Amino acid sequence: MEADDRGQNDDYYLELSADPIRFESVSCLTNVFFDDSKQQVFAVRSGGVTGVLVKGPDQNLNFRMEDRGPVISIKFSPDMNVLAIQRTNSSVEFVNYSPASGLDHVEYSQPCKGKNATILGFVWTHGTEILVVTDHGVELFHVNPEKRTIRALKCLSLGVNWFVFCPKSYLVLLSSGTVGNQIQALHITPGNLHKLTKFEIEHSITKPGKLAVSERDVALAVLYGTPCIILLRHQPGANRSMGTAFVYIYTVHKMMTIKKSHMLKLDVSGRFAINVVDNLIIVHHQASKTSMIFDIMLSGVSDGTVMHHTSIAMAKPIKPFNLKVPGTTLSDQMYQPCQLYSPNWVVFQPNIIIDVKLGCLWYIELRLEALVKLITDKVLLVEFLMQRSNAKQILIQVLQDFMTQLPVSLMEMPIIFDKLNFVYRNYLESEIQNQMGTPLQNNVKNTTAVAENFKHKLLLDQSDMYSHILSKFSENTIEPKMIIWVLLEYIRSLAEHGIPVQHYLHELIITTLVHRKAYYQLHQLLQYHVVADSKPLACLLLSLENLYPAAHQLALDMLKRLGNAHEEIIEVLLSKGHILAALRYVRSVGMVDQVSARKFLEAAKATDDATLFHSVFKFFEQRNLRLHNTTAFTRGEHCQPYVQYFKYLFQGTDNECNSDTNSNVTTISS
Amino acid sequence: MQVMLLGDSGVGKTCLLTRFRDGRFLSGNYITTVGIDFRNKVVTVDDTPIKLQIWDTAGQERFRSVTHAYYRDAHALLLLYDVTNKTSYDNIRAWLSEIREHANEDVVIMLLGNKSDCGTERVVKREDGERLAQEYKVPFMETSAKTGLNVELAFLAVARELKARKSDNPDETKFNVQDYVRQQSQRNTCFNSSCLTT
Amino acid sequence: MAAKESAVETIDDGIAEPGIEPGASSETMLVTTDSFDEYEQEMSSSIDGDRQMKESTGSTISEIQEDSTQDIPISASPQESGKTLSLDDAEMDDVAHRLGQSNIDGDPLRCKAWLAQKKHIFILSQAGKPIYSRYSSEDKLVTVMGVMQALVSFVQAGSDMIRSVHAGDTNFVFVVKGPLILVAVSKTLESVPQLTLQLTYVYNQIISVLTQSQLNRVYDQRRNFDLRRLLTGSERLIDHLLNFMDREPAFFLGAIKCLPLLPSMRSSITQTIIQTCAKIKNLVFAILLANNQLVTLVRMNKFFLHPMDLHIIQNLVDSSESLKTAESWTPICLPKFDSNGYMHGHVSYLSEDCQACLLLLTVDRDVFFVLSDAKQKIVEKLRRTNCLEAINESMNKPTITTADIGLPDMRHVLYKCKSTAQFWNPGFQPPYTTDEEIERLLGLYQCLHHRLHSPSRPLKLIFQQLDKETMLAWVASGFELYVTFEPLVTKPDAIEAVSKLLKWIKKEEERLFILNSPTF
Repeated sequence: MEADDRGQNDDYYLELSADPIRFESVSCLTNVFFDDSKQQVFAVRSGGVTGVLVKGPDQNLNFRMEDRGPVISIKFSPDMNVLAIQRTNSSVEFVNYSPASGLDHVEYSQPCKGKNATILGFVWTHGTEILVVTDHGVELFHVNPEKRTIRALKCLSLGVNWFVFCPKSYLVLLSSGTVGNQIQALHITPGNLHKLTKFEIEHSITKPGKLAVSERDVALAVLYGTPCIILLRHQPGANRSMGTAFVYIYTVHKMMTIKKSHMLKLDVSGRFAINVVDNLIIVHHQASKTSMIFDIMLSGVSDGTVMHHTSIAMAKPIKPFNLKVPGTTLSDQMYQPCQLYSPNWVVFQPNIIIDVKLGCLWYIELRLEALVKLITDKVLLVEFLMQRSNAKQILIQVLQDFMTQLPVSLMEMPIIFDKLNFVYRNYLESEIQNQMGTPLQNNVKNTTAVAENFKHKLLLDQSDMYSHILSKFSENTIEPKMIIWVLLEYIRSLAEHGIPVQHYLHELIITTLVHRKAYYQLHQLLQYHVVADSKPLACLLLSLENLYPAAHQLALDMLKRLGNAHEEIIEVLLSKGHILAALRYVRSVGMVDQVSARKFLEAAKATDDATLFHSVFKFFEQRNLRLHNTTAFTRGEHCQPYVQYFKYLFQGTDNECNSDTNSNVTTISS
Repeated sequence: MQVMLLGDSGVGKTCLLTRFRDGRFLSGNYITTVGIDFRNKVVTVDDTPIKLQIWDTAGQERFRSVTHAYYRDAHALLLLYDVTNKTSYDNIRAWLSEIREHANEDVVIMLLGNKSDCGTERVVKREDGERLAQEYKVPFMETSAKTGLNVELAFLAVARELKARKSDNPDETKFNVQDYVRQQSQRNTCFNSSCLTT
Repeated sequence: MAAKESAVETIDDGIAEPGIEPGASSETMLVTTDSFDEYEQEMSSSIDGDRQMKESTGSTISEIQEDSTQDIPISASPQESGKTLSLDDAEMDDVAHRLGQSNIDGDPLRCKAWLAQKKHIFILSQAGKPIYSRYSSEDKLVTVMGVMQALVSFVQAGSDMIRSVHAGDTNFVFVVKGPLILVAVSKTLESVPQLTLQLTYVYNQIISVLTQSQLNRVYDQRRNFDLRRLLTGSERLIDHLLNFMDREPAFFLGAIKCLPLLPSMRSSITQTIIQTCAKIKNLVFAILLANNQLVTLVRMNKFFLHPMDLHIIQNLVDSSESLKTAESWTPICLPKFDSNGYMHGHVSYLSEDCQACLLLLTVDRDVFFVLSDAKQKIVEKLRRTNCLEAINESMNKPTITTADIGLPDMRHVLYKCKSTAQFWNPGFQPPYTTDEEIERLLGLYQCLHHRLHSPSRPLKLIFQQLDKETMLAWVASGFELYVTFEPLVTKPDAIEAVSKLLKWIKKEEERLFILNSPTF
């Protein structure tokens, strides 16, 4: 069975967490509650007398409490010091709790203030503050466990049909109005309530007594840092089964305004459930037992105000899950397949699926490796992966795969690099901003919007690119031309985004070019300063002179531009016999008085060019004159052999030379 | 006394003169006379010093008009050909007719076959020169500016003849340059027999 | 490193006081046209040669002569020269040596040494008959010259004029003048205008031997005429002229160098000549040359000597060893003065102990003895007044160098005064101690000269760092200056040195230049 599964593994891009939280299933004796704020499952046996089992991601508590009636709702305060229990429609009781001593025996309570108000529910907000929602409004209280007192902080009167709370954004959504299409959102801050702009949801035919929007069609989530209201809408069709459903995403801006921003097209109808995993909206469709994935950050089709999105991959079922169950013997264990999309499933935000019958709590998880294979658009895939957390390895793997597909992937590479480097650039910018407090010279408009977005994007910097991709080309499978092309394209993209290119990339491209003997291309790169100057690079170029003569001059020019390589330049020029050029350079950098005359005279002598030697000798004679008031060399300079050589060349036999000169004078000028 | 050297270009007029005047041979330097060069040399004939003004002319056709003007003033003419150059020998007849036209009737003429040292390259036989000289009744000898053969003799013979004519001495008028030359050159031939190849 | 060049716009202000023009004089005995105006004129005249010749038939010489006819009849030649060029052994050796011992009898076009020559000069007739070749017997080059003639006539057929052909590092420059075609095939750095000027000089040398009218006449009579018959012995003059131009800046500068003399001495020499020759009719020019430098030049009133003609005279003197041992009486045509007639020159060195050459140029054919007497008198007077001694002293003294002047950064210089067409240069000093280095330096001067005078884009000032020297070339209103510096000289130092140099020349100008223009 497992083997069979493996064959189809690739198809499932969603799976249930391997190790579900198990709890007692609902029975006549046991009531099960789930607190989606703390993600705790409460199994209350016989009203608590026979025990309350609390299971959460990191809790496994067990305590008893008095049975004072059937529990409607039960939730720990965020610090686990107070347990709130609702048993009636009009009050909430509190009991102090400590891990050491367990549950206190004293309960204290707070009736809701509104007369005849029915409590719809409560949520812990900040610290020991608690928000109680009634059909007449909301009330915010502060619980003091030490004194066991409750103090009312704020309240708001409003006819409420239902409410939804998001523990991440502290946003409460209240459905009001007779048809329930008016939505009031509140932002709860410590000790306070803030009203956001009210908005209405358009509705068509509403059967009497039925709300236009039901609680189960609304979810609150935070997508890419933005609080969102996810609203499922059934588009009326000719009949129910023919209609298709949509999901609207309302985004909340600065906790002030709410705007309908996105629309997800589901193309099917029926019962749906919504989860949010890694900023993705998962829409489960019960009838087809499949799920769809939407990413509102990917670009969709805009109708002017709302962005329309489609599922990024075709709808697929969740990967089948086998539950470990005790076998016939104690040591034996059996695997029992679970029913997926079961009617017993209850879905909580953001990513929780609970099967109340089985007593299992799963987190729904993404299987990116499967998803990658289903997204064929390379750019879209990269963009998608960049927006996933912990997708770096997969992204790198994907990029590596692209490289092996060259030149097929050639067209997409520039766009992909630009996407990567856009994020990279913003990352660097915020780094610098953090360090310097000043913004980097900016070529990106709309900084704030971008800054908010890029935080959720994956950073692949040049060292990642170098060590995982660019330096890992295998010679046999990829044409060297392609390698150069990709390298150049990456460097271009970096440059276009104003990102300083690191030397290892330059060295890589140069060695690749040299390896390919593409010297002229190399020349052009250097000439247009595509490759940044550095001493190691200049040395590399010098070593290439035998293969490409022009490399010598390129190296010299580079050394000159570096501005701190005087010695190297002089040595290079001397080694080439360009002694005059070396001296001109010495002069241009103001080192005339420091250089060793001997070094230059020796080099000049080695050229076997009398005229050249004469020029160099005269140059140093003039220097001597300036420094010591005589043309003679000081003893310390050890220039005697060159003085002799000069005499041998031009004054060797003083008289003869004179007559020689004269005879020339007579033949030439007389 | 004015003596004029005539002959085709390149027959060795200037070399002959330099050998006579300075006793050296101008080798290696191909020098061409431009127009007329004037040089003086004093020779002694029978203890009498005679000043010879020697006019060395350019052999080229284009200088002909310049040289013509000085023919009339010349007392003696040394007409040279080159024994290694047949054309220069053939042109002697033309030179002689030009002399008849422009020079004085009583001018002393002597025919010289120069470069007699160039044994292997010789193309004009000594006899050819002698025959031509007899035809025009002028004295003849072969010379070599290089070895100096007969150079002194040629000028001395001319000087002697001029002196004889000038003195109006009846005895001396009998002086016959042709005989003198024959006599002297034969003597020289004895001395320089090894040099002469005919 | 590539040579850097920059025009220093401010140099005019930086050097000396404005308006310093050492050697400038309102009086000049030389015709002062720019050598490159000459070039332009030559180019246009060579296209329409006939017009040029007709225009110049107004003979300067007949103007001077009162009664003489200067027609030189071409007599039926007494020589039917079969052997056109007589080579004696020595010359044979020389030629063989020049051809690198390889087969002189064979085809020069297969001889490596011949092909490797840097500058070939060929002369042929419009009919394609070979007249002269610089490095081999022109007989061997009948086919090559045929190709040259074909090239010229092909272009002429389109009513056009071939000026040059460029193939790799070789320039083929053509000058078609009158009945002659002159061709330079050069691997040197000399420009087309410079090579054209050199060919024009060669042509003028031929005119100097034959006169324009005689040249035209022989070809009018026989298109197929073999001009070598008339030029026998003059190849030497052309050979010498070509070598002369290769090592003498006077030609491309279009100027004359003077022998440095105390002004009083020079004046004394000049006066001696004037006084002695005052009575001689028809004496046009008296020229005294020493070491190829001008000591003095006296002219007949109204008439001037063109530097080009003086260069032709210098070539004649410098190439004729025989002049040292004889008084010479020679016909010479000065193409700029009168291309259609001969002047007659009494040419002689002053004395055994003073090797300065005196030329007395007249239009009379038969005044040799008059001039000979005059020369004797001149020499005697000069000896009495210690002028010979002064000339000798100047000739024997080593030429002053820029180091002597106190300009350590300056290696060499050419200074040309435009108004008098005279130039001055110091002696060569190390590193210019070998013929190769000197030739290289002169080549550099020629390059600079060309760029200053480029017909398409003339420059006023060039400061250029070259491989082995730094050079400056500057055309001011009164002079042209070409300076060679140490390669490492700085611009300010160079400007200061030029400034110093100009002051020095100004101080010495009366000694270095002839500032007046004496007449008989």
